[in-house]
Amino acid sequence: METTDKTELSILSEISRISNSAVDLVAKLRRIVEVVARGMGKNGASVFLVDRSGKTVTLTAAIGLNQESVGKLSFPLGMGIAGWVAEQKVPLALEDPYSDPRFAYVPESGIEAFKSLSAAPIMDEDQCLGVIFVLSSDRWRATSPDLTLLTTTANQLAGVIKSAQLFQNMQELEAEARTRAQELSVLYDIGTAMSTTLNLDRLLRIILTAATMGGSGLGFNRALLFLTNERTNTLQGMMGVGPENWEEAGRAWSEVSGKHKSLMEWIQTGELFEHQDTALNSLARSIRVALMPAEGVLELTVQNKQPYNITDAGSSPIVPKELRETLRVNSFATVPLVAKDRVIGLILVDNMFTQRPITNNDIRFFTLFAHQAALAIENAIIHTNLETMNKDMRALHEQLVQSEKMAALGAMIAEITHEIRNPLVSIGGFTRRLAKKLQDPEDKKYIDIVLSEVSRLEGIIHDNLGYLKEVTPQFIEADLNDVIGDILLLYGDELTQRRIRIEQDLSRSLPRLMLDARQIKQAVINIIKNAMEAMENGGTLFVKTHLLPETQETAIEIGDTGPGIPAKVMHNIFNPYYSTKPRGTGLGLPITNRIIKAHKGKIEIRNREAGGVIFTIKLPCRTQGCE
Amino acid sequence: MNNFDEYISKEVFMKKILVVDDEENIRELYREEFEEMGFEVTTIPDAIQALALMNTEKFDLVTLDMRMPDMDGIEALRKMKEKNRTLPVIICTAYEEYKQDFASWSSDAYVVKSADMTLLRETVKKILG
Repeated sequence: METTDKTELSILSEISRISNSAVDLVAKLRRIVEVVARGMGKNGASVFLVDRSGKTVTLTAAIGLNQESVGKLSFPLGMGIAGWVAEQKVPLALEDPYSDPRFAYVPESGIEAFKSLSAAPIMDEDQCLGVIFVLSSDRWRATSPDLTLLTTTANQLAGVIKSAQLFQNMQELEAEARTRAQELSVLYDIGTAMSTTLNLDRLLRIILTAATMGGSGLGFNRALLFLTNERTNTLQGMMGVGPENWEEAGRAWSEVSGKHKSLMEWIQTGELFEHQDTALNSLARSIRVALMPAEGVLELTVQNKQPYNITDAGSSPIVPKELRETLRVNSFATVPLVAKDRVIGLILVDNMFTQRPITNNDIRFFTLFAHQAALAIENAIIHTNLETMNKDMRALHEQLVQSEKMAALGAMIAEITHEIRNPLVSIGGFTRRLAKKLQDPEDKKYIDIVLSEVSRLEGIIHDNLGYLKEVTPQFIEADLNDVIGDILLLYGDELTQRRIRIEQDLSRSLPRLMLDARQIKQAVINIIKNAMEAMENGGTLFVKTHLLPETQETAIEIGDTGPGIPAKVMHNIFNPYYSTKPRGTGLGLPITNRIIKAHKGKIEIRNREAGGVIFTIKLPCRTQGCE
Repeated sequence: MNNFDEYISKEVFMKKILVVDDEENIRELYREEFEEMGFEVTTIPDAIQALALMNTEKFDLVTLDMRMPDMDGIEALRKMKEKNRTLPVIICTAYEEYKQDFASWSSDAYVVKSADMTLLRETVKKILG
């Protein structure tokens, strides 16, 4: 009919005008439903839109219905008239919807004001974007032209909705692109900042400051960094950055926002590296967990190489009570530090003061950041290791050069010592021969002095050579009593000449020992020489060997009947630089000490009650124990 | 007659010692000391010459220094013993180290040089009588 055509045209041109306006989709739909209702001479109209998932249809604009329901009233596809039409994609006219089994009566919508309805699907090719309703408060049997008009309107609406949706998508994409660009820029700035140092400590500080900075940082409140220790298989807290309490937080942020500093500026002024000794830092360093068994969130982050976002630490099964109490927050997130597929630690962040929830987007960005940080940390660690290795190598090199020098020096001294011997032989030999030719006692006295000095020089040479030799003992199984026996045999004549009696007590049940016989002989000889010097006018030399089963040692005791040794001297008796002798070097006993020590034994000295001195040498039995 | 007797005694009864040492003063000193003891002494500065001499002359005792140019004392000792196993050789040296060298054990005595010649003299007396 004529009026219907005119109506249709005017509705469509109105809709066209509305769709070109600059308002958003929902506002447009609101105006459109008004136009449709008016145009069709009814007092109710509504539009339902299918949501992104395509599973429900939601009331988006309405006239004549309860406005509270807008945005809230929704039906799954197939339910209610709206759901049915959206699913079936065909128009529907119901004179009495209340008696229709498809009708879902929702009193809050205000639908009872109306008696009849008709609905048409809003189609974009074969996809249903939504449903448009016209509601009549009087009984209305919709005619075929009515439905055609409604369908045409719906087609128009499809265009409006589609272009609005496209525009919205574009806006969302643009926003996301902008966010990504900004994130990249932040990451770039942080990356540049991290590359300013290879010093691990400074680097960690930069990383954590970036995590807690607003603006050009990640904007968390507090950040703690942990590194793994492969050797001990533990996770150790290394550093913590963040305010201690509310006042500090407020102060810090107003300071930062006032100064508008970028990360690089913070670094360049050196301010970033001040105030390291905060309570949070100590807290971080106090945390140390074993990586196995991996039950807590920290260990799990490392083991599974994935981030964890804890929203309620109290009820989370993976947050140990201890950790929660230490951190004093209920929500936090952890992100692993992964460098070249290896987990080297993790960063923990929270929003303790702002209480802003950590979103998935935050985690995503944080993960990107952590990746960069991990690489930088690895570099720093490698660099430090290289430096340490370098230092060690240099120290070793120094040592080598030193010991080479020492060896060369030792060889040189040995050579010189030998070189001196021959001339001494000549001097001594010829001087003696000279002495035989001299009559004058005064001349003889001079000769005696020369000869005694020559003898002294020989003594020095002998002692020096003995002391210089850093010969490691060559352990061969031997009978200690045999060794002692050899010595007593060697010195038997001399002892007799000096009127020194020998008293032997060599135990028969000594185990065979691992020793360097030559060195042990030297050690004992030096003691015996000492005893001989002490007993200028004769005396007794006691030599005893016996087993000490309780301490698994064999003991050699050498005693004399000399005057004994005063306490002060005794204290220094093994000291090569301390000598009471007017002649000679006094190196004999230090050499003995050296030898005994090289045999892993002990040497003691004490005064005898009856006068004189006793040296006690204790040598360990073989590892199997004394038999 | 006396001179002849003396000559005979000298040639027949006097024992001959060969002193091998690269130092002149040592050679001199040893010569004086051993001649005083009643021995006939020949001194040679190096081992190669000594070995050559031993081919033509017979000796009753050799004193051998260890560190000499041209030939090492140990090698000289070995060669001497190869020539004549029963010939007594005394190693007479400033070095103590060779005492532990088993190669030096084939010598009859090891005397460390000293300004006091007593030990060397006694060792010679012990070997030659």
